[in-house]
Amino acid sequence: MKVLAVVSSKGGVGKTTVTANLACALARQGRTVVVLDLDPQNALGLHFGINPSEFRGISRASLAQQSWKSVVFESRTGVYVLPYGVVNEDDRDRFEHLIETRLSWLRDHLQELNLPPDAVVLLDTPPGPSVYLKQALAEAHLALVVVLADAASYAALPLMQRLVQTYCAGQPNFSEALYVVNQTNNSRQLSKDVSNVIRTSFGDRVVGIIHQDQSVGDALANDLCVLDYESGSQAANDFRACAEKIAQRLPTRTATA
Amino acid sequence: MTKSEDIVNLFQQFGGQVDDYQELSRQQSAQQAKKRWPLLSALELGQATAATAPGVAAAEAPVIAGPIEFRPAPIAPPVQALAPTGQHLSAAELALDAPTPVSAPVADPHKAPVQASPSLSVAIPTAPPAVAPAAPTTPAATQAAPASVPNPSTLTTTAVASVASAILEPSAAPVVPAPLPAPLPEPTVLAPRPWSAAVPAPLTATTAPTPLTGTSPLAGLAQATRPTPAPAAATPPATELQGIFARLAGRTEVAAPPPQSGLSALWQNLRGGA
Repeated sequence: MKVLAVVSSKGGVGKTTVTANLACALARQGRTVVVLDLDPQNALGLHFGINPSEFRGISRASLAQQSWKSVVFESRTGVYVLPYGVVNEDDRDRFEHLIETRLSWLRDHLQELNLPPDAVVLLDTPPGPSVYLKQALAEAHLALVVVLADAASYAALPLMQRLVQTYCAGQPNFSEALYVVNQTNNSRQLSKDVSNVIRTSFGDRVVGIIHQDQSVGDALANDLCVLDYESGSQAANDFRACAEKIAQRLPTRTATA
Repeated sequence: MTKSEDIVNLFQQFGGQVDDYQELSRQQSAQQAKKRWPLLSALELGQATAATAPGVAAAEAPVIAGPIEFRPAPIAPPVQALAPTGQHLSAAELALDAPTPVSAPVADPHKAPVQASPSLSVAIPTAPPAVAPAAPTTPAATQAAPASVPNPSTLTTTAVASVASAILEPSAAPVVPAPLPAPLPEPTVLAPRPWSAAVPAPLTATTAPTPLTGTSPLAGLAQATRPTPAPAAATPPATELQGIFARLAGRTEVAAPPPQSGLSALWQNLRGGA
């Protein structure tokens, strides 16, 4: 099992969208892919067609001391989805306190899922420092930093570098931090420049340049990932290419795939 | 006369309450929009019951009854050509093997599969197995019950993905990577930082604001985007349009005009003036 934490220091950069579409692209390679929503926004499930009125998820299961196996959804693309779920504010406080005081919370639950050795787990996290990010980075083999090709997102990169350094550096499983530049727009000079500077700075650790593409948003409105919605779109190609680069850093598939 | 006045006058002329008037075209438009985008129809905004989640008091019905066997997804065929524009796959097209409605009689939810995979049979939240703890019965919990309505997300099978793959047009124009950037003018500003250098120093009372030209990432961006000033002699004609008019007028070069509007510059050129 390899754990990929999708993180960013700034909100609104498209972490959840990147998580969902990368999961679809990795699943299409014949992998066992699990996505886990650690963001109280509970939006990841929408990309996989989970009913927006569905309350069940890891938050409620954890509080009820229930197995996470009870909140596994299987999407039509073959990706297994564990939503955050919906909780009221009191329960959210209790949940976050639980996470904060139990450092092995995520590790224990992932082990309990009994995933096959070649499974890939993508963790979607809320922006910036949080108890969720701390747990995610402590378990991650790879950290995938999502950044927009704009000035604010670029300026927030050092914060994420510090967080990854703080929470991943001592972890024996941690391999490296990778970068995805999301929603690039080559018709805008600033977008091109930010992309180029990031690629220059991080080299081959930039595993994805995802172009701004209307089909990504349209796909979500259709409860689909963009690879299923418009397979030939620019963004679909970008996500496939990104998944290929990430796959090079993952174990090979089993023969049964 | 505005539309609203027109409507008010119509009600005055023919009788009835103008407050009861409903903009049918807007409602029809909204309904059509919901048909186009499944996500819009999945959420009913304005319903107060959807706002609050019930407190967590006990274990809830599992999504998938029985043991879960995580399996690899089917491998998708390589995409070789761009799909025709507008050939979007809807969720309904992807879910070709429609799931068994949850209302269908199932003798034993643990043994009778409701989908292709016996190991992934789906529990029915409104009628959980007897051994499952009862779900909260608050109004909000009742609101959660629609999850029992046939939901493609929870009921579809991995076999669908292979069907969907067969539907998909072969595709994939190679993604042309953006050209590599030119060497940066100030390496000290834009050089990648090692992890160890990213840890911030503790703040002191004498810490002064760092100017943008220092180590700020924004400063690096500013350096990268700042255009290099060209020599004065190499200044091109003011605008492309002016250059064209200059050639038409038989002149080989147009000096950079003083600041003026594009329209006035065009007028000057048409008149043949400098």
